[in-house]
Amino acid sequence: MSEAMGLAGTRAESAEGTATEGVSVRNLGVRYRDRVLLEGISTEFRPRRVTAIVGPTGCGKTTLLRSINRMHDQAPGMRVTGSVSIDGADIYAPGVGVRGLRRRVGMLFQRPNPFPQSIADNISLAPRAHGLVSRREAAHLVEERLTEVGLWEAVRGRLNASPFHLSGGQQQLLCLARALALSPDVLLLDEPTSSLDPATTEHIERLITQLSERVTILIVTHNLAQAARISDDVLFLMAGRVVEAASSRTFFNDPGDERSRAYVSGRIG
Amino acid sequence: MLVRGRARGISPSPAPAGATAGRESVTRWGDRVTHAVAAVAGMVPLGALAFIVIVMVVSAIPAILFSGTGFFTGSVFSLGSVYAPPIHHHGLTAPFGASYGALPLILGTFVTSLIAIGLAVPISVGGVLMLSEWLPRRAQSFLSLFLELLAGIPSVVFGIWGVYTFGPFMAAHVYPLLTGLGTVIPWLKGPVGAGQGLLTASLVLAIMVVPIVAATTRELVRRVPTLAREGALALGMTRHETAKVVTIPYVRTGILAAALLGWGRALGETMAVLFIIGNVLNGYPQNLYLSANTLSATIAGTLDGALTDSTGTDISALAEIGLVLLVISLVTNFAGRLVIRRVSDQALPVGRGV
Repeated sequence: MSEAMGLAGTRAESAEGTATEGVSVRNLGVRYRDRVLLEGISTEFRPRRVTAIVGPTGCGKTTLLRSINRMHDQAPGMRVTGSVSIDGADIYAPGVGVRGLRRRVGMLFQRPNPFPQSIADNISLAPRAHGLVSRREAAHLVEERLTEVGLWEAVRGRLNASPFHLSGGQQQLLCLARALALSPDVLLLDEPTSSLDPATTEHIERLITQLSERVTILIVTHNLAQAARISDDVLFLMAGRVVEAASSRTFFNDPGDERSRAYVSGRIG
Repeated sequence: MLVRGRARGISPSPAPAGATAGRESVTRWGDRVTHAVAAVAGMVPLGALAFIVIVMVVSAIPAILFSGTGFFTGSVFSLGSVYAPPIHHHGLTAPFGASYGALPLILGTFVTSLIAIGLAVPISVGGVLMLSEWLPRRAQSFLSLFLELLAGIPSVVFGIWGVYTFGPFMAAHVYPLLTGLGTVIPWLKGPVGAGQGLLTASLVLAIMVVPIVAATTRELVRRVPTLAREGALALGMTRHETAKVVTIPYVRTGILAAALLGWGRALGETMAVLFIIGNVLNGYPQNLYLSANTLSATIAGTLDGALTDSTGTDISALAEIGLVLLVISLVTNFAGRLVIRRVSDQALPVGRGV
């Protein structure tokens, strides 16, 4: 389904043979009024791999993540330059709608943010708004996605109840299921486990690994051990610039930059 | 707590016993004064409310005894004539022909205020949601300024505008169209009168209540966490869908509270209504266009006459009206506050940790 629902430009570009899979960032810059948040970011996020974006607080990790589903569009004073391509199509090109883009690029936030709606509606509202499922198919989708994230048994008896009675971890799983209900090609995870207990964190990490078989995953994390556990690649940022982009193995064992070495060993952070 | 503990720990007298103790006693003395002032200031609102309630009840007693339940069932409110010998009833004296039936006034109060709030809430909430979703911040604050100006217009100005401009205009151009709805809502059948009546009063009240409800709604919408709204936006939902799925559920209870506060304002509003409603004291209007009266407008409109009654029962009847109004206002206010408390208890549960 996800291939058929591609961005408007995707097929045209594939015909020209220039399409590259995954997320490609070219000379990306983000400014908030006069302040430079990101500058000269160029990197590739490999398809169906987990890339951890790491770096000290305020280095622009979340800003980079939010450039990839154009969340900066809403914020007044934010200016984005350069380009971001998904499967070869520039998402900032004129005529590309954020609605279709965000259908393909899901996001999970630092803290769970379920809708103030029933648990079932949390899953089914977005797919129905996008016309992906009918009202009848929605029930099946709800079960499927909740099962996938391991929440079905816990909530099957109270699908019409408020999600705010669930634990924080369950709420975050619900938000993951909500994002998956749109069958995204890319998932942006913004410190998704920073507010969760170790058991749920481990559960979510396992899900991330499973999902990476079919979804390109970008995860911002402060937790280097987590990055080491689940990521295939690492992108290390400092002060709005890329310091190093490498495979996890290289980054954690033999980083190419002195600053990476210092960061991995905990001397800066 | 700390202050009291210290005071007890040292000595009950503030007399200085050396340099250090002297400085400390100054602090203690200052604390005591502050305490006393704060205690008195804290008691003032409570005392004032209790005083008002007691005075109202005491003043109303003669009228309560005179009319009994007739106050709530009778349809004629008349102060009687002071030019004829007073009458005696239930052991009380009242002017000849006095009749204190307040049911039309109670109904008039509820009908005007409910129509007003029924119009003001959807207008304010719809307006605020649309403005907050569609307009840039700067334009929003510009419009907010207008709302605050609207809230600041004295009600007597609304009254004059209503009686000389708005009412006649509505009666000439709008109400005749509304009579077409008379087949659906019988109270909208003609005649439309001259523009002084229930409906004109309700509409002007609605305009007066909009700033209150809109300002509260604006605050509620601002307090919806960005994180909650971004959850919907990140799924490709439109602003409209986000408002429906996230914003409105978040502010729903708060809007109920805002509506109750606005309703309280509409219930008690006096001058504008007094000017506009036509001040009929005997019986009910045959439709919404014609003259009627409310509790507060009756007090203001008949006080002059009631003061000429030497038996004092007329004034007592007005006090009873005031008491009823007070009870209604207190009840709506308490209800509003209860709802607000419930809302702040739920305190926007986004991102609650484990």
